[in-house]
Amino acid sequence: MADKAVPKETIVQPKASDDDVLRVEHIAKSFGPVTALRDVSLHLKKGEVLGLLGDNGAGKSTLIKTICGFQKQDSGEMWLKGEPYAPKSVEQARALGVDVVYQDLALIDELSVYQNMFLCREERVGRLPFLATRQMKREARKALDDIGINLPRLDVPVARLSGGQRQSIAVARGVYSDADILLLDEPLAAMGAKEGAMILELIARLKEEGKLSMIMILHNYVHVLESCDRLNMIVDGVIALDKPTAETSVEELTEIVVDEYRRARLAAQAEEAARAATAV
Amino acid sequence: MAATTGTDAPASAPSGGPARRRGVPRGAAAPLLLLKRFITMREGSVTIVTIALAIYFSATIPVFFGVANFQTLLTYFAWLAIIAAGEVFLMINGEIDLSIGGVYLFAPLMFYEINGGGIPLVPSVILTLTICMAIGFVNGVITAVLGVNSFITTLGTLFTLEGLTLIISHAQQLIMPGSPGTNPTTGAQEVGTFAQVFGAGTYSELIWAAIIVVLLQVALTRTRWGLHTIAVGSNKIAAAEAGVKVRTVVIRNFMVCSTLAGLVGILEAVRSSTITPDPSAANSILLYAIASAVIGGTLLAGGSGTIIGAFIGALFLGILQDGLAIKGVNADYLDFYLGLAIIFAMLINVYIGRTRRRSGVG
Amino acid sequence: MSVHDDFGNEAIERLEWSDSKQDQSPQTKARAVTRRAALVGGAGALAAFMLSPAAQALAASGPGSIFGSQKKYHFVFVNHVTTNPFFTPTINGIQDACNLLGCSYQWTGSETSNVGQMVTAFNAAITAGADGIAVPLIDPTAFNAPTTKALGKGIPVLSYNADEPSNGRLAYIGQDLFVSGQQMGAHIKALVPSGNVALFIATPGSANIQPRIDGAKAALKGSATKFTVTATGAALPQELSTIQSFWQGHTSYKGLFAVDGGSTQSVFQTIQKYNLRGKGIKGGGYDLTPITQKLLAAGQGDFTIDQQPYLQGFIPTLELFLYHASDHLSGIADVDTGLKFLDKTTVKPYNNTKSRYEGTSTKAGVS
Repeated sequence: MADKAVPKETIVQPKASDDDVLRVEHIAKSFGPVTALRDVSLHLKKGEVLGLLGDNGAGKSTLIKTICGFQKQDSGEMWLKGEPYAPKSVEQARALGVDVVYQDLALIDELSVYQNMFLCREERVGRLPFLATRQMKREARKALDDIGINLPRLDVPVARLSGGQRQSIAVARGVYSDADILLLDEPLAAMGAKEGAMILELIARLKEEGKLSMIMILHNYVHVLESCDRLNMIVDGVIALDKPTAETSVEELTEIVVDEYRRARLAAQAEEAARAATAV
Repeated sequence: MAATTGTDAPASAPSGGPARRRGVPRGAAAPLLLLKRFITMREGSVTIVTIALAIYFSATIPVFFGVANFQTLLTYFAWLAIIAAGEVFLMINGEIDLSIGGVYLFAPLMFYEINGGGIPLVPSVILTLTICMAIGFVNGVITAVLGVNSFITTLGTLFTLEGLTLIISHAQQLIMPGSPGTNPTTGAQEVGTFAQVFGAGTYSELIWAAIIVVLLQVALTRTRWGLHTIAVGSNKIAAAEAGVKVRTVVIRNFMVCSTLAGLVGILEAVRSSTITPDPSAANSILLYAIASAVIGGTLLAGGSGTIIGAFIGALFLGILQDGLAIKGVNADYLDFYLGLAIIFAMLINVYIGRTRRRSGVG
Repeated sequence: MSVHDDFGNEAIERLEWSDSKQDQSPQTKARAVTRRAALVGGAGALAAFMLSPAAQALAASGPGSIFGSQKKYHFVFVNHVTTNPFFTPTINGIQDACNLLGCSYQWTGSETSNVGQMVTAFNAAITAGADGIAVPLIDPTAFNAPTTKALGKGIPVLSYNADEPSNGRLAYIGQDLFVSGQQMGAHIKALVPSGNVALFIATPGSANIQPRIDGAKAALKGSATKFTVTATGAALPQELSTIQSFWQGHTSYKGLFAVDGGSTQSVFQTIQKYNLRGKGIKGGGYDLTPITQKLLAAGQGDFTIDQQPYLQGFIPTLELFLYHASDHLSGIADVDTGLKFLDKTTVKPYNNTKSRYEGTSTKAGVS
């Protein structure tokens, strides 16, 4: 049994519907000998919050990076609001309404809050090449207030802020840029309970407004069930589960993961036995 | 900038005791706080060290604090400030350019050849600076597009340019066109307009330095270009993820750095009337420029730096050399003192940098 | 002695004719000047003396017809400051001699007085089977083993510019740097019998200039002329600044002197800038940069020293060639390339290359 694929594997295909704001089908992506995504299909409804679960190395980040335009898939297609979607760059994706908050937040430590918010979306003084600093500060303040993020000062370097505050800024940046779809890669990583709660509240508020659709990569099942409408689980480069959160539970999710480990262990043991047999 | 709200003094303050206030300081505390705030500016520490050095020399050397010496002092640091400023911009970007020594050497020679080909002085300068920009472009492409570490890239360019200079000039010293001439009868110096503007005029190099330093500092703090430079220097990956065009930023900054190095080469060649192809000059210029940048508060790591600081760092080195020369310090001791001074200045930078971080000032 | 003058002139003519086929440039003009200054009078006569039987035939045909076999010899010149402009005339001398004699050369060694690098280059030349090696002996012992090895293989070894008598080299061509410094010291004493003078050196410790200043210091020691030694730096514009600063701090000094080309030029420029001739300040130094020539001719200094580096390249090449051509019987001799003190008048011909170059006469006038 040299096959690396999980036995009794289920690959889930999306049930496309008309109000899908994003649809990807049969995405595959490899980096040299490493296969990150084998055959992933996914869809996102307008105003929906989709949770993406999976083990480390299962392919979640790769999928996000493909959707946001940071890299191109090897095969497969994507549709945005019904039109074919193949962004050549992050900027293009952003212009089309797809924005991403990376795991490392893509924040520049040395720059201040408002500078980070306006990075690559800077505003200038008329035709002159000078930055409209006061204007940007004002609008940053307004954007943060709108989403309910409370920061006393906007001109401190973001290196001085807490993890939760940095995350808020990164999310605010995405929201402010008029995104329709926001992709969040582990927004609660390395955060304590209190700050994590703050972010979840922010996301709930955004969901209530109804303007954004979101895909979030999360590890904590409780968080997923609390904040997402639906969840997909990626196992070994394919989607293995697609269910509304209301219809599943922490136990079921845990069961699936335990199952996977069990299968992998069995496969490894079988391989070991086969090798021992031939050696004798 | 301390915008926190103050609390009122307690209603029943003990008699004779000072009211405890947070916020706006009063009395004796005010100048001390101002001083602290000044020191914690990025350029603060080097400014203090430089002023201290100037005071020391003024006290121990009578002629130091005079017009004549000020004019001589300019010849030590004004050109250095220009070339250091260009280097700082690139260091903030997270790269380093070692080839500035080579461009410094190569530019006057190019100017000589172009002018010798029949092109008038000022257009020759423009053409020469264009060539320097092209050199910067090559540096930038090799570093940003081909992915070679900038240290290695510019090391290669440095040697290449030094070699080219020797080859083209046949290792011969040449008279710089447009530089001050000598009246054959009186023996006095004759300084034409070109020479006045481009380095030989008493305040020429200072004016160039002032304009360039101000322009670059404004560019760094008030334009998108400067913002992106800091972003790329601070975190290249994050900047790329945010959408910054990293390659363009890097290449552009290399071009600025090389152009300024070429300008300085021309200015200094005009001031001394000579084009010298000796590479040892190039290497010492390179080290002084980097020393100015680092003493001035620019980090080697990238993402943080100050053009004004480079100006003051150059001033520091200039005052040091000038003072030691006036004193007539023994030849063997010069490098020793220079090295000690640089280490001392950096220690103060580091110590004050820690104070800066602790006080929470941005 | 006319035949010797003729030889010098013949050589000049031949070389200038081949030069005129190239484009005119300051480099070729400068080369012509140093060549002319070197080949006529003094040591040039010695070279002529060695070749005098052949001088008549030389005009008609190449060296092959004179010396029999026409082998193209290859000589290696090792040097300690390969990129220093002082030795550019030396390279010119080597080139001219090679052109005259149908040989080739290699110029190698170290840029920074690194003896290890020089020894490596020396050994590489032996391995490559050079026909002759010339090297400045800037170290008392490092070159002894390579010299013995080369001589054992039949490769002649000469020293030039700097010498070490305990080395096994066949002959020394040049003038001792220390001795030249002493002579300058004596000159300074004559110009400033008592009082303070400044001695400037670009980079202390450099093997090509440190001995000069050591010699000057030795000559001035204990006399009424008190001296201060100051380093000026590697870059010429910085040297200018340093000397200007120094002057402002020492306006009681009676003389400013230097031992390297850049500092010498800066001394003259400083004298010019602050009008020091009017105050009776003396100034002088070494080597001939274009500006030094101009300023000295305009009276902004007292002297400069021409160590005739051209001959330090031309004569060793000649000697190595003759050593082979005469089948090791002849050709080798110590040559003192002499020290020329140039002043306001005697430097003028160095400046007037244009008129001389256009003229038909090749007779030199510098003596």
